[in-house]
Amino acid sequence: MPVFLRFFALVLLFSASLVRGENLNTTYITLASAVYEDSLISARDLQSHIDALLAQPSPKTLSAARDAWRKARVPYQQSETFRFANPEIDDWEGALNAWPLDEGLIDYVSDDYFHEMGNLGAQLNIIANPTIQLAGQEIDAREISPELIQSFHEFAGSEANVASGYHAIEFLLWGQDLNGTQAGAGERPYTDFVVDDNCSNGHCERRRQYLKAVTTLLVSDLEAMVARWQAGGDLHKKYSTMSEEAVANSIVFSIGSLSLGELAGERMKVPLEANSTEDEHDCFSDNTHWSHYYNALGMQNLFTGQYQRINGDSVGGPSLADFARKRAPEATEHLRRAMNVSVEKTQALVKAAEHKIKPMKFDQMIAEGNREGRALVMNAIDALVAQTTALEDLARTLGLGSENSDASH
Amino acid sequence: MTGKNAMTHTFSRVSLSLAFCFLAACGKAPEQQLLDATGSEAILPLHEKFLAESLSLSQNTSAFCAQNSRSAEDLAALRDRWVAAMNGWEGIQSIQFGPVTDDNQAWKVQFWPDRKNLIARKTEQFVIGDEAITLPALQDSSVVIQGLSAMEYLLYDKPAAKLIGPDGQGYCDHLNAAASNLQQVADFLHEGWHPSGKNYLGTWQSPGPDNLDYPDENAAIGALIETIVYGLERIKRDKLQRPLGLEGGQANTFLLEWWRSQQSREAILINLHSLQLLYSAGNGAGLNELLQARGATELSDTVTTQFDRAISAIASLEGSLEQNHAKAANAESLETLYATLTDLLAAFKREIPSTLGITLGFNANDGD
Repeated sequence: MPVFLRFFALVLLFSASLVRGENLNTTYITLASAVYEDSLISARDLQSHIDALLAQPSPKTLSAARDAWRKARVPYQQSETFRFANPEIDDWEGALNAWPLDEGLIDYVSDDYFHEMGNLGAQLNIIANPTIQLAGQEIDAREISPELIQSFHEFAGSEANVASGYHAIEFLLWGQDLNGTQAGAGERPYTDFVVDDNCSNGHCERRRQYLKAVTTLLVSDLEAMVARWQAGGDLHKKYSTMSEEAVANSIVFSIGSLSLGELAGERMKVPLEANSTEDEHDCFSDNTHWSHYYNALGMQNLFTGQYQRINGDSVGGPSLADFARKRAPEATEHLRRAMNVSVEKTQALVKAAEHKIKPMKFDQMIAEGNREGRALVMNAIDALVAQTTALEDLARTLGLGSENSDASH
Repeated sequence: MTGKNAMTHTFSRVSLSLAFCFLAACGKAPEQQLLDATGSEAILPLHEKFLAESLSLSQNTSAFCAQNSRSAEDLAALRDRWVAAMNGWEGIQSIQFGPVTDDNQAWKVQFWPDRKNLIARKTEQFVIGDEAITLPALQDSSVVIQGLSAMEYLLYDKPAAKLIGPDGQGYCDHLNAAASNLQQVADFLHEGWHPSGKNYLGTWQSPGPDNLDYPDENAAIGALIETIVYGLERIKRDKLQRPLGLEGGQANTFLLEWWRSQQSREAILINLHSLQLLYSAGNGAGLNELLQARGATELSDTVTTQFDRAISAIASLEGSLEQNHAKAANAESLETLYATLTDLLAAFKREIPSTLGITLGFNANDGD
């Protein structure tokens, strides 16, 4: 076979995906679209369970709503890896997943509630107060609408004033976890949502309004994000017109940032070293282990270009792993293994937390003197640090991930 | 600056460089000269200072707590020793590579920002707890109560009155254990860097294919640039923007670095001096000289000027940041400082790495 033909055959062999018009860009859009769509689908499911809870408050409907909340976290936590290279998403996400929160902004709290020092909103208790007096101003909060909730989010410039999003809903479904580093999550009674004389802790009608409005807001925020990834949306356009190398840059940057600073740092090392349950991610529900695991899985999805949707379907396409393997096989393999270890070590958190006989949740793992728990969390942190180093090595080998990339700003 | 001073300045700079050149064998490549000079003129002396001040604080705390009765004057004198040790720490706070990364040393020294006042809560629990208040017990506890931050709470917050009263022994025991722990950390860091100890300096200064941390000179110089970026970011975002609400929102002075002792302004001043020292190696063969050697004299001089401007802006702030950040008289200095930090960050994140052909890691790329 003449040389040029041989070359041609090779190109054909390796470029089936090219023929279908697939590249890093299309995979990126496919994965992001699917994971945000799944987040929306599961948020709508959560919404219907919350409607059922409000229609007929009972231990059963409350428990079903909690399950739906846990399920809604599955795709959302996998979506977070898209956040860091995209300021458009980063600016949006605070309304959905901000934490830790000063929950006294929203509802009643225990007497030994600790909030951010100097936070004016920390004890406003919107649910208990139809009129809110603050610094000589009077805020009309008679109707708890999505707009009212939005106006209190990051109130007075404090990030601890989280009025909306998954963790606000989590607080309303579970209540404060008053067990510290002991076993147990929040124990809000279903009667907190009952309208008759059985209403516990007062202001049940307003609490119901809040829960309904904050869930509506979550769904509409996710609808907006889904639209942005569809043809004609700004993020769809951004990733359609970017060079493939810029997409690779974006992937490297986002995985690196979530891996090291956010997941290993803010979400694990801070609570572990300070032994601080205040810094636990899903602190009301004790769902933190799952959130960490799905964060790690989301990073792996993006690297391998594959995502398993909540209905079981697989979507994907040419990946950074494919792109890199041809250029830097060794560094790519190293990173692939490192990412497997990260998933494995966060899975170990899940295994310990979901243990049938002696479960150890994340807030127990970080207790002072819990060596076994500390080792579990440290292993996950170390794996994420190693993953970041492997990623940096790969980026360096490929000449990617530099500060000058358009993806990082 | 008058013409005469400028001349003197230039002269001393040239002569110092020559003297250094003479001592350190000028035959070396400028990259190697940078690593040598930055180590001997900045990293080692800064760690020596922190060690000396921590040692003095530890000795003074031990003597303070051994007294049968303690006076307000004794407390004031001990606070001065704490400030000196804290200043020593601020000198090395930005240095984010080397022994400090080993087992989280920095957090043992300082826990900040402490949004929910964990320091007070955990200190009180520790002091009233059943366990004896000893150094090993402290080291097994949360990092938030182990170092300068907990000592600041004990010396400047509610426990301060107890320390000089009849029933302050528990607090003093904690203070004493924290001072000893601080000294151990300072010792660990110093020993970790020093050529007579574990000699991480040698690792940093000898890049090469067999060096796992620094396979080439760019990796070693990159670590230095990243550390300067980290230090500048922390000042800009964590020490100014967030606590003072400089980009929207309200000021929350509880987020300032040393709000209890009102030393936050001083800390920034020390940070900037030490960052400038890391940049210039005390007018030896620092990054500034390497940029010149690569033909980027203008960039090199611009950065020097920006450091000077930032330092004079923070130095000219009247009073403490805690009390006076919102005063009209300070608005211009704060604005200048903030804008200059933005310029410095742009230089260290983009212009300097691209001039030197260095790619920074994710830490340095984060949070623009």
